[in-house]
Amino acid sequence: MKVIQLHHKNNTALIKRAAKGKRDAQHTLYEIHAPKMLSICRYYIKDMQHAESVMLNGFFKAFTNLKNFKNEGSFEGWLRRIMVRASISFLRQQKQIEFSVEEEAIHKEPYNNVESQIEVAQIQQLIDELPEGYKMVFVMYAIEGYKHSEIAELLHISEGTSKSQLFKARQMLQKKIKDINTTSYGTN
Amino acid sequence: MAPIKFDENIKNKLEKRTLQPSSDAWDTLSKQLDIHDKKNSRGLFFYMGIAASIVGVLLVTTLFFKTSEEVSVSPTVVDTERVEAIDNEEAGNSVESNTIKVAETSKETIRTNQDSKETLSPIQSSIKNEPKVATISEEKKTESLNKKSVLSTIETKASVALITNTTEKKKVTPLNKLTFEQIKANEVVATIKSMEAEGNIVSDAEIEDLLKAAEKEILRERIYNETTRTVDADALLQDVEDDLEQSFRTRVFESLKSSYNTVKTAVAERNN
Repeated sequence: MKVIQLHHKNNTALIKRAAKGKRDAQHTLYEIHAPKMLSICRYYIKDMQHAESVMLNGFFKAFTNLKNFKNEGSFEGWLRRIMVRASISFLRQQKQIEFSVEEEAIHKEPYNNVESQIEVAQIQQLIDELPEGYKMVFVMYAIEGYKHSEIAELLHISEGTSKSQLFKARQMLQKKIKDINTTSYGTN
Repeated sequence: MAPIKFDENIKNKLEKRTLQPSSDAWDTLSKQLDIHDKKNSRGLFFYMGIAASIVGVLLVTTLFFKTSEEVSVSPTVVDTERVEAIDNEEAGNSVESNTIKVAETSKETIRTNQDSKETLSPIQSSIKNEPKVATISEEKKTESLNKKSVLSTIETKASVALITNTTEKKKVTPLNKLTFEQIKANEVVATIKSMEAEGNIVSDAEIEDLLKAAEKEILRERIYNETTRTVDADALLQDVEDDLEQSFRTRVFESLKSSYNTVKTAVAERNN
């Protein structure tokens, strides 16, 4: 408990110094959070270099607006939100976001624990293969924990579209994972 | 329930993942931050510069107007007391108070020759001599007046009036002019006296002629000062105006006279 408090105090001091423009403090924060933030950007952006570029852009925005950060929430959560927005902005610039407007009935299929055996790299690959609209809604909802209302607001879509996109994404992923498992282990 | 578990499984696996950025990523970010800081500081310096220049302009304008007022007000120091002191010293050497006036007129000459006392002494002597001449002439004048009043009581009334006028003027006007007028008055008196001494009867017309001649000479002297070789513009103008007025008056009078004569002749010859 004491260790956590000390870490929190150190983190606050570090953020304050970074907010004043101290390059060493900014570098320390970068070293702490960059690997995780790059991973987040990578959820959305298939190309690693682009993901890194978006991450750096996110850090730049974070450091230049650090005075606006209030210690009410966690710094990492604040940074994550910045990274997600930067990624969405990048994809919007690339005009890669497409949301299929066809409304499909949500079928409740029996869930099989198909993803338990596959590796993280394979999961990322499957996510990368998803259409942009599916991918974004799935990552925001399933991994980042956004609500449909928040997703709808951020992506300028309706909540219904967000829900349908999520369903399709799940369906597609499950199918792909099933195919991988079939190929690898010969199971059905 | 099943989708939630599916999402959680994927989330748990992805959350554990970390990706190491490239080695030069921080350098890139650091450069971007440096550029941003420079822009900010440049903007700050720009606004500070504008503010400083405005303040500077205000200060300069205030100082300029303040100093210009001071310059216009500041009195010029003239070394007059020293000169007056020197004059007083010089005046102290000479006994009569009239000498001060003369010393003041030749103040510059005294000042320039202040260092050399040899050159100063003749000037002093000249200054001293002038009032003496004036006083002597004054005495002569009073004596002549007394004699004249005794000798001719009737004929010299006009001359006495003129002389008394000149003596009164003498107290006010400068010494040189008085001397000249006095000399002229003396000349007139002397002429009358000599004419009387010869046994001739001096008529009023002769006295008037003598006085007019003397007046003319005095007037000429007033207009043109021999010592300074300058012409008094006001006196000259006054003289010319007097002449013009006189001539105009005469012409009008002549024309009236001629027309009157014409009318008179016409009336007289009417009956013929």
